[in-house]
This record gives sequence, structure tokens and C-alpha cells, in this order.
Amino acid sequence: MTALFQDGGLRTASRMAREVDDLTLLGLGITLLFGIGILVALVAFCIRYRRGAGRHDPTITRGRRLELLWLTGPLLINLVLFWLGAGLFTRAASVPADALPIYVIGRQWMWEIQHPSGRAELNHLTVPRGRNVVLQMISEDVIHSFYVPALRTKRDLYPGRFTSLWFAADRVGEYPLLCAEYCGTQHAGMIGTVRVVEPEEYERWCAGAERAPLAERGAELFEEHGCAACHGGADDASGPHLRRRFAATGSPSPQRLLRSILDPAAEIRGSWPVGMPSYRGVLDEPEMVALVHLLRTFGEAD
Amino acid sequence: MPHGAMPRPSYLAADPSIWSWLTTTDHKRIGVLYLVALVGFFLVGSIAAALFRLELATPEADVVSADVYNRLFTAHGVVMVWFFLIPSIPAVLGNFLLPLMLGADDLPFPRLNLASWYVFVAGGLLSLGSILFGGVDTGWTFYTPYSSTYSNSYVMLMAAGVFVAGFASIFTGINFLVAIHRLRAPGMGWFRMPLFAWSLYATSLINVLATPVLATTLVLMVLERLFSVGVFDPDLGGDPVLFQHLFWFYSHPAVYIMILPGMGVVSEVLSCFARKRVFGYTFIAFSSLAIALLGFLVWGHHMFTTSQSVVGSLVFSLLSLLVAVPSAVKVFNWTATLWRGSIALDTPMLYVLGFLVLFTVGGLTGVMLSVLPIDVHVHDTYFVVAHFHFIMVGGMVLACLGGLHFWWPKITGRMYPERLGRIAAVAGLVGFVITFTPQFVAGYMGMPRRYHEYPDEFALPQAVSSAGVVVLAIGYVLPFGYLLWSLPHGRPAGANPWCATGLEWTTPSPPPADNFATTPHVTEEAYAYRADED
Repeated sequence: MTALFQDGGLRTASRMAREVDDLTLLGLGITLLFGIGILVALVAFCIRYRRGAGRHDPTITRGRRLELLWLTGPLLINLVLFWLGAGLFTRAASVPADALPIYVIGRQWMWEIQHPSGRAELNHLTVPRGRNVVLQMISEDVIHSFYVPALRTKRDLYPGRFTSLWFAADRVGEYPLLCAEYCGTQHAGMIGTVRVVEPEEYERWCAGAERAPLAERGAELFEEHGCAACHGGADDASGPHLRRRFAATGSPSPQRLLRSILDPAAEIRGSWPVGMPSYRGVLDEPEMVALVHLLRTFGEAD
Repeated sequence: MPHGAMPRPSYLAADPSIWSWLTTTDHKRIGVLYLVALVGFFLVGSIAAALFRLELATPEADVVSADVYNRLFTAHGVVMVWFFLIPSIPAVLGNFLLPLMLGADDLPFPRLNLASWYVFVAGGLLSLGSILFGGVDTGWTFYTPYSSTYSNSYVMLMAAGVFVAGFASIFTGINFLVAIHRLRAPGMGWFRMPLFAWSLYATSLINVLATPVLATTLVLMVLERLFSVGVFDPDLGGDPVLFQHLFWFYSHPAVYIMILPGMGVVSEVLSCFARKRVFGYTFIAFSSLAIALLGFLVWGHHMFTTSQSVVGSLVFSLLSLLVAVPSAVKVFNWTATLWRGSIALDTPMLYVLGFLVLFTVGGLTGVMLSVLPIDVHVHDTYFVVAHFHFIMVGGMVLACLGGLHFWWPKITGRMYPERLGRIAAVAGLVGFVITFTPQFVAGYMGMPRRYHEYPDEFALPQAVSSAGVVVLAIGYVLPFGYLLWSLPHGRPAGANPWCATGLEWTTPSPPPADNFATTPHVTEEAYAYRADED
């Protein structure tokens, strides 16, 4: 059993993964305790009270106190399990403010990764060790699920919507990356690697980008698609000056931003003349990523 | 026991022509018709499973192509869930036994009952057609936008089959609910009913209330596919997660449709072979209802890794942990029933004891899955596959086989060979454990489900799992053989071979077409077993 969990089997690359294992051990302990307990009781009763053993007493048909005990016992155990699980889950769901954003685009049947530096990878995700990383993920077609067993975490990707997943890998190495949501013929082939490297190595690797940084490409799109005309700060603009506004308030989440672009009517507030067209079908996913990343950088204090 | 003036022909002997069977409104014959149909569907679902387990025996894709593999697991899921597990105990044993247990002549709407069988078979044939002609590869969950936009169009045919078969569940559910309210024999108050009837009552409530939601969901999926009505596809302004909410709003309660009737069988068999009233009858009766009601409020636990809100997930986690409590109460009560019993280990009892152990493991791994961070790791892995097979196969299939053996003498008038029965029960149990226990390990190691090939590190648990199927198959093939053999050759059973309580055992075996010569009067509690006389 333990051999399965050493190298080649399940590895562990984050503190949160170890906490999940602790919870699992607790759950497994309870399962074995009750499972074996019931098994032993059944076997013992079947032997001791076998037909003809002369211990038959059909008048025993209830026991209120006993029943109350095994109603409240499991209830209390389950409430404790809920509490422990809820704490860890809530932490895993709140993305730290300083997390390094990396963008993931899922498509049948590959993972495309975009780093802010302009580095891009296919089916590999390189991350610095010890740093909080947040993946902002979107699918081009069907639902996929980004799953890294070594981090004990996964998150589904949807078309037309960003979902996020954050983690802090604390062990250098290469770990399997799998698609966990069935996505068609080559679902089993949608696999790759998460490569955890030392932070200095990550910086060096990023410096070798052959493309422009993501924010720069976002800025080009901002001009090209006419965003700047309304959101760039001209006097007669028919929309908020986004750089100024986000610098003051911080940027909304990537999902809020994307929704504003694809479905502006749902997000427009205040007295702006309603006139922004939907960019659904205009932008492809890599463009969405670049544009959203640019808008996120507006909100970064510098 | 009431004795009529004239010997009345049994329901089997009444008119043996095929036409008479196909137009029968006798609940017992309809139960047997369902049995025949379900054996066929079980065979299809099992062959699909055997083929993909063969593929999974080694990491490489060497037996079937990826597309064929995907069609096999879809066929297995759809057929086993909708055309075997959901109807299994209610439509076969429930149809046959409920009126007998209540002391009634038949169900309240006999023609509706016959219609349910035809609707069910029609739905099954549509689904089988989609498997044979085109093959559907969406998985039994039909998640959008894959099913509505990307998969081939035979998914429409399969959805139509499931939609049609849903009406059979509703028809049967209505019949059972009305029967339990209106057709109980004089003297049979609610709390004198056999617990099997309570479990069918809870099951029928779910069937009647939840099935329309599934039907609506499938219609929406078809409308989107045929007419581009934007419901689930984001390109059309829809939301793919909405499909998951609607699907699981039916399909999680459906899990309880698939286990509650099994729990009913356990209560009947356990009390008979321990010769004691079920410990805490009222607790067990109410826990069935509690499961049916709470079961409607936990669907979101299938969606902890989606974009569902954090608060939503917390609430669904808590409710899922609560629904485990009535199940725990049942297991403890059943175990306590054996205390100071007079226990005989005949075949039905072996199946039921197997149920108790496997259901406990299945239930407790379900508790683990309700704990949010554990689910996030093992969601959509073999851990989940193992968990629900412990409930569905280790629970429901064992209960179904146990019940079939228990009431076989009543249904056919013949005894099955006891020694072979025990061998089959043990083989089924051992085969099951070998097949599905390694899947917990593979799942926790991170192997996703629905992979036709997989990295080498999962090779060991997958190979053991595939080997277990050989033993499991013995447990299924044996009963099929000896139960058929017993039809002509089995020892005549007599009215009550197990000396069991319950009105069904007061009729001759097999029962006459109109069940009771005179309406029985119930004067005591259910399971009024007396002390041993030996």
C-alpha cells in the first residue's frame, strides 16, 4: 500500500495537499472503525445466535436509548467532519491578493498555458516554488477539469467563463496534470505536467519569452477593438476611464471583467449611455485572456 | 389461513398463452414481465462493463478504440441506471409483492401498470437502438455543452429513450402510493405494514416528484440541439452548469430510488432469518422518509469543483452529511435485529449480510466525499466510481438477488438449489470486493474516470479490479442458470417455506390469479415471530 504512494504513485507538492491527506486519514479511520465494527458484530451474532443455540428472544424489538445514541453519535461525527472540511475548503477558495496570475485555456484535447511574461506552454505548466499562484481558466469548447493529484485539487473549465484555482507548490519536481471532466474521444490524452521550479529559475525561464508580455498584447487589443475610445479617458467618452477607476478601486475579478465584455448589459451600472456592444464571437479565448489580463494590471498598485 | 371452497388456479396456470401474458393486468404477471425485460438489460449492461474492464486490464489502449470505449461506458451507465437499477426491485418484487403484502387483489390501476411495462420496454428499445446504430459517448450524465453541441446526434435518440422510460417510473410510483394509502387490508395500520412497503412508499414519492425534472431537462437539451434555443450553451447565452443543477436535482434523489427498495428487502429477509421483529421498526420506517426528503436537498454535492458558490457548496456539504445519519440508523438497527436472534444462513440471508457490510463501506466513503476538500481531490476519479458501486452493486444488486431468492418460491412455487445459492452469494460478494476495492486506491492516487488508457502507476489496482470481474461473473451466471433449472426441476416450495410472517406467505405458491380467497384481517404487528420451538 505505501509503495503506491511513493515516487511513481501519488506525490505531494503542497501544504494544502498534506492537510487533505490528514482529513482523508480521519475519514478512512472512521470508515474502517465502523465497517470492521459492523462486520465483527455481524459475524459474532451469526455464530452466537445461530439457530438452535437456544438464545432466541424475539421480544427484544426496540431500545429507545440505544437508538438515540446511534442517531446522535453519527450526527456529531458528521458535524465535526463538516467543520474541518469547511475550514480547509474556505481557505482553498479565497485567492490570496498577491497570487501570481497564470492563464489556462482548455480545448479538445490540450492545455494552453499563458504566463504574464508572454511565455506560453502546451500541456506543461511551469510555476515557481513557494509562490502563491492563481490559475485563471477558460475553455474553448466543452467542459474540462484541471486536475493535479499532487496538489489534491481540481477545478472545472467552462466556455465563456473564467474559473480560478490557486495553490502554492512547495516541492520542486514534475507532477502529472490530468483532465478530470469527460471531454470526448481523447479525454484520456488530455494530460500534461506541472513543473515546479525554484523562483530564480522561473524568472530566468520567463525572461526567455519569444512573444510580447500579455499586458502589451492586451493593450494592442484595447486599441484595435475600440475599447480605448470609450474607456481610455477622452473627454467625451461614453464609459468609465478604466485605468483610473481600477487604480482607485482595484480590478474586478477576471470573470466579472469577461462578463462585462461578453454581456455588457448585465454589468453596466450608473448613468452611462447604454451602448457597449457584446464582444461575444468577436474575441477568441487567447484574446479574452490578454484583454482581461490588461484590465487586471490596471488595478495593480505600482 | 383462508381456504376457498374450490382450488383456484395459480396466476401462472390461469392462461399460459403468450397473448394472455402480453395483455395481462395481473400485478404478478407484470412483475414477471419486468423480470424478463430487466434480465435482458442487465445482460447488455454487464457485457459492456466486461468489455471495458478487459480494456482497462492494461494501461495501453489495446482492445477497443477510444471511441468504442467511450460508447461502452455510456451504454453501461445508461442501461444499468435507467433500465436496471431504477426499476429493479420496485418493478419486479414491488409489483409482485406489494398487493400481496397489503392483502389486496391487485394494484389500484392495473391497466396503468401494464402500460408502464410497455412504456418501459419502448424506452429501453430506443436506448438500445441508439447504442447499436450510432453509439452515444456522452456518459450517462449527458453533460452539456458536450451532449448538446459536440457529440453525435444519436444522443437525441438515447435521451428520448430515457425520457419515455421515465413515464414507467411515474406510473408505477402512482400505483404504489395509491395502493398503500387505499388498499391496506382491514387491521393493517400504517405501522403494521411490512417495512418493504414503507421503502416502496418513499421510493415512489421520489419517482413521482423527481422524474418530471429529468424529463424537462432532457427536453431542454433536445430543444437546444434541434432549434438552437439557448439554455445550456454559452454561445447561445445559456449556462452549462444549469444543466448539472437540473440533472442532479433528479439524479441524486434517483440514487435513493436505487437503494431504498433494497433497504426494504433487507428488513424483510433479516427479520425472517433471525426470527425477530426488526429492531426499531418506527425508526427504520421514518428513516426511509427522511432519506427521501433530505435526498432532494443534496444535489449540489456533485458540483463542488464547478463554479457553484462557496456558500452553496458549504450548505450542500452539510446537508449531505445529514442525509448519512438516517442510513447509519438503519444499519445499526439491522445489526441489532440479530441480537438474541435465531439465525439461519440461507442464501437470501447471505446476500443481506453482504449488503450490510458493503453498504456500510459505501455509505461511509460517501461521508468522506461529503467533506469538501476530500471531494475536490477525488471528484471524477475512481474513488467516486468505487463509492457508488459499493452502494449500487454491493447494496442494491445484492439486495435484489437476496430478495429474488427469498421470494422465488412464492413467485414460481419452486425452491432453488440451496448449496449453489450459497456458492453464488459468496462468489458475488468476494468478486465484488476484489473488483471495486482497488478502485478506491486508484482514485485516491488520482486516476480520473472515463480514461480508456492511463499512466503506468495505476496499472496494479486496475489489473486487480479487472481480475475480480471473473469471480463476480460467477456470482451472476450461477443464479441465472440454477433459477432457470429450478422452474421445472426445483422442489415444490409450499405456501411458506421460510416460515415467514407477512400476508404474501398466507397464499399458496404460486399465488392464485386473484390472490386471496377472502380478504385477510390483520390482527398483529409485522414480523410477529415467536420463540424457537426446537
